[in-house]
Amino acid sequence: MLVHLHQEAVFRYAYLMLGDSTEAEDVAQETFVRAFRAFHRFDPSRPLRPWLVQIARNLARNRWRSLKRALRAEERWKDELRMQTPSGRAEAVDAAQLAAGELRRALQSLREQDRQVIYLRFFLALSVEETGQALTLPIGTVKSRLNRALDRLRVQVRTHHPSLRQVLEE
Amino acid sequence: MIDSISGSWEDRLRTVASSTVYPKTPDLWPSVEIRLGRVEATPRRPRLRPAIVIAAIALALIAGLLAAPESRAALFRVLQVGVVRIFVEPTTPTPVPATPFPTLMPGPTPVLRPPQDLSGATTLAEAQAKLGFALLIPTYPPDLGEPDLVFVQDVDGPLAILVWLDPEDPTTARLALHVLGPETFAGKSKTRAIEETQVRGSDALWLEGTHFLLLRNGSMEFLSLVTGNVLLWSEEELTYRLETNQSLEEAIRTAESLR
Repeated sequence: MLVHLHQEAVFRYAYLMLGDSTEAEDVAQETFVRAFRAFHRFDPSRPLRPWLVQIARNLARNRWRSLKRALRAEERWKDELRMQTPSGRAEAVDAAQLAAGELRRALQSLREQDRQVIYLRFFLALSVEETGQALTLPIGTVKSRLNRALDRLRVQVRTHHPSLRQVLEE
Repeated sequence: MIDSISGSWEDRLRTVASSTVYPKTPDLWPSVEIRLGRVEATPRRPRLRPAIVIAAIALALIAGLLAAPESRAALFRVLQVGVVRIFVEPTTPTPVPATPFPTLMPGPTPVLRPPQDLSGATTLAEAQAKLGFALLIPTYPPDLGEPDLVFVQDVDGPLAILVWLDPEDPTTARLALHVLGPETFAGKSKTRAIEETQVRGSDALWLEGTHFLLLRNGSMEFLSLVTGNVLLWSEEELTYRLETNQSLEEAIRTAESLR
């Protein structure tokens, strides 16, 4: 039940971080194994999901640092993104999914810490408090970092992603 | 483009983000279970009764470890009753079993939720039918009667929660009895204070603590339902956990009144 309740959020977060489903599954699996082993260190006064995301984040970051893995993952991710563009299997992808794919590409040009806070707040729908727990940041820092990240995303979208801009600003 | 997005830029961003296509989430539990099972294949942490025998052998070693401050800081005492495993913080003032523990006084718990907030509300009769084991009810204190609230949850195994509300404040619980099946997941957070005792001749623990519970909103959290202490014991294949603000003696009497 514990795993079933949180596996989707942990897996999706790892996928957003790594862009590769195989790598994401490995990270998600390792996250739960480490969580069970470190259970006695969990602070029971806090919700569980941010703690799991925090573990996943550390694991994914370590994995991402491995250049070979990163390059391989990037290639697979590009393949997956291509499948969401008109030149790929457009017939199976609706407009919302196209915009989502464009958003992920726009996010790739941001710094990692900007992406992190946007992933947690907008993709995983964590609260500001939960995002702070996952990133081990005070709430005020989360809010200011999120504002800055959104500003940079806006600039990026306006400059390089006209179709996404139309969706977000029309 | 997307026709139905309205609201602020951030609202639209949230809508677009929610349309992200993810690969299907794999079922992680089988592989996690296998990996955890490999860990369990190594010598298991002792259950309480064998631990008494092992403790005699280990006492000299523990005493030696406690003599060194760095070892004392790193040493967690692990006790297990039924399916519940407890990590006693190294700061526990008297971690050596031979030393008498101070009697715990009821104290505030970290998180307290209204007892109605739990998932799996049912009736006593339905719970009896759902569970694969007989659900015994305490008959002490004499005015206790049947539980006011009954929940059955699945935490990788059956968990029954019986709650008796405070007649003077029905938003709070007077007593809560958790009955955990043999395969139930019951990892437990660290505990500062603990006292070993017995229920019907079986080893039991009297401790402060919270319990992993499934809430109606779907989240799982460590929660206490009663502001007080916990009596933990095991009978047959079931693990019982009584949350109460009673004294230890009264709690044992309640535990031994299960019928």
